[in-house]
Amino acid sequence: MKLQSIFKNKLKIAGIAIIIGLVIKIFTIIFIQPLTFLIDLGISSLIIAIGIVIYLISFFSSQSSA
Amino acid sequence: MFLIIIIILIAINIGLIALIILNPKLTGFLSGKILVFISFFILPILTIIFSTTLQYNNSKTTQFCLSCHIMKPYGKSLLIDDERYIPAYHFQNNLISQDDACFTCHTTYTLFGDIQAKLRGLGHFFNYYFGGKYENIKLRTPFNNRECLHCHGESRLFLEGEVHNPIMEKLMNNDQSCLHCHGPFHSVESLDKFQFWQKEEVK
Repeated sequence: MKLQSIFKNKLKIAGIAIIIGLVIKIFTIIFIQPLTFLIDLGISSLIIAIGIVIYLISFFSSQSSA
Repeated sequence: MFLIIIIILIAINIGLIALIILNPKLTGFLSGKILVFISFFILPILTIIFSTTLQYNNSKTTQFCLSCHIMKPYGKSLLIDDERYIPAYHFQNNLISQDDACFTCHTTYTLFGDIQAKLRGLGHFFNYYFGGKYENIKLRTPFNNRECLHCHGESRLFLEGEVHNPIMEKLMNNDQSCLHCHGPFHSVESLDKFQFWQKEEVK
């Protein structure tokens, strides 16, 4: 039960990170400028990647514990 | 069109993630777990791939290059109303795509040339914001004939040109620059002396 709760919390953190990254991405892909290019690749994609990694860690840790 | 597809993809992704966060019980079912995998892994990765492709293609455009204040005079030089000016002549007669004008001549036509060009651009970006003043923009290395010959190398006009034939080997080996005979170029320091092409939109 506790394990399930930890998984859900991590999933929540991962989800929020991915949503933040995606929202930033919407604003950056609209404009064609070097600054938005760098924000998109350097910040937005990085935040999304962090979210994905958190999800994968929580997924595999819950699988191995089960 | 590609931009709209990405925005729709992002909107769907955000909606699905919000649904899962607000209804965590969904993760208890197999179908819910598949939905989590799709919205936390597959869709975000697709979004990153698509948006990076879009950004990469956008970064080749003339609009992208000229969005930097420092590059505005170079953009203006493409409209010089004098056909002796090589960039202006190529741009105005559509010998290079007007949408990708800067990139077409200033990339490197080698295996990883496009990537190298983008990395150089990244260097310019950091130099512009963190490296001090930009007063006199110069090419880092002399303009290589390879960039001209990418288009002109196979053209009949070039291959059968009486002037080119005696020095063909030198031109091919970049021992003699095309720019030695062909020019002038952007001439941004004296733009106020020129008249400019006023492009008429097709009605």
